[in-house]
Amino acid sequence: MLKHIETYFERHKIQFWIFNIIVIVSLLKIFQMFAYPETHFKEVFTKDNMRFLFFGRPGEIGGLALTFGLAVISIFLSFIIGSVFGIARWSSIKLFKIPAIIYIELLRATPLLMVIFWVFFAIPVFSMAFFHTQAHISPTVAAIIAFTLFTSAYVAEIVRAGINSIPKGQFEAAKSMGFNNTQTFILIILPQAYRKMIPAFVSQFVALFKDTSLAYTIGVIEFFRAATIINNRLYLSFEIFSFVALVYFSIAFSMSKFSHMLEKKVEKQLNA
Amino acid sequence: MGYEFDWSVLIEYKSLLIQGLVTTIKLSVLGIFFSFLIGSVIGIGRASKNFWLSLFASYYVESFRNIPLIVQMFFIYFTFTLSQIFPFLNSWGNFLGLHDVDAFFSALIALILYTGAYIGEVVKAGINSVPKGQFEAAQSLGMNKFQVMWYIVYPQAIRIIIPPLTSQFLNLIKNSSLAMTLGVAELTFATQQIDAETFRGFEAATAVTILYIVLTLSTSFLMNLIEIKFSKGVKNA
Repeated sequence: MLKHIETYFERHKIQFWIFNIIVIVSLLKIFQMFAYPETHFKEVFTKDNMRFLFFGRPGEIGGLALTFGLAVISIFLSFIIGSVFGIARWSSIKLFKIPAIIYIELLRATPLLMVIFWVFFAIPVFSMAFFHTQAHISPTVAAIIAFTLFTSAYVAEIVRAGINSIPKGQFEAAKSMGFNNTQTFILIILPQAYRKMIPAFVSQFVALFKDTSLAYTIGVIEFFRAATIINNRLYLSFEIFSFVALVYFSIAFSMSKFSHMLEKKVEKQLNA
Repeated sequence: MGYEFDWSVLIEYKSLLIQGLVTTIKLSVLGIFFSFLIGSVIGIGRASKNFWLSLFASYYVESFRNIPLIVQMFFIYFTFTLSQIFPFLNSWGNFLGLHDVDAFFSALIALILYTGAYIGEVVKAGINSVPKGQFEAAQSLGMNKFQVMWYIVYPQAIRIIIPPLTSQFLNLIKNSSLAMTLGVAELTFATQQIDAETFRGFEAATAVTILYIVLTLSTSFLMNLIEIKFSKGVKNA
């Protein structure tokens, strides 16, 4: 009997996903009945609360919209900075290579929370020390800087791995066609390397999307902080945090599935 | 007027920093131990041929991997009073010398669940990388499934997965800084406290960053030693 179901699910993907969703929902329901018999979801799901959770206060960007904004801006900036550091790390010129190694290793050995605090504390201090002015930095900007610094170290490693994965023959072929070094790198190597890197970038974006919840600590009103603010008012932590977890899960999970799909697609393209 | 650095706060508040370091080490050691246990179980489930076992293991992995750690911590901390549900945690807390048993164990459990999911994936990859012939050879020697796993496959898999496992352990050490948000007095919390008392957040943050780097570097050094020990007498294929 079970074998039949197994083969059925292997053939029918959509039914399999529906089955998964039903199982997970019923598991969650059983868990809730044991752990937290009385729930007040109605008080959480009011129109104002939802508005605050997803778009922030009227007149400013907050909530889930800000979470996405933080993630997208930071991944874009760290894509640029990370590429520079990654290429420097890959190059054989010591003047570029050693600073890149120091930067990457330093940031990868530090917790993100520490980076956020460091940026938040350090920018006013540096502006006092070097420019002799008081700097007023908004928490959102500090968070973007911290995420960019942190993620660019990881992106740099992805870029380096991507460039390393290009076969040597490509360099030699380009040279024999009369390209010089810069042309080879920009026209031949980078386009191929970036195509290979796309899945890794998407999964880095998923990680960053989850990590944006840490901006909570310096007072950025993104999705998670909005949820804690509502929690402080209503004190319905089970309802609120399970909802928050569900939203984060559904977004992150669908993006990681997407990255998995891309990976297969890129593999197929490269093998063809 | 420039900013004058005052590193003497670090000496003044060194007991706070040392306490923080000790708490971080407690969290990390307990977390590494238990998340490795959970991760091994989940990983074996993930790699198993049984469709249903691997399905349920993948439920675990996907759900804990895709929810931010801080959300898990807050969920556990605010929804459950762990010291009432599991009274033995109080005595454990006494043994470990904790001030806030609930916060510490909420953070620890969230860390274990989160990292366990990642380690499960690593273990699965390790088991899958053991050649099939090893399973068959062991079975033809008359071992049962458990024996095959325990004596033949798992030891080989462990040797292969040490480098990715190390990076997961380092992630756990770094993620333990999130316990600060629940009020566990660990290293990052010490930074906040020093900043609140003296406005010397920059110096404190620098010192704590260096401490974290020392911690992660020494952990990876230790794991390197373990790797050398495990790979003794094994041909590098």
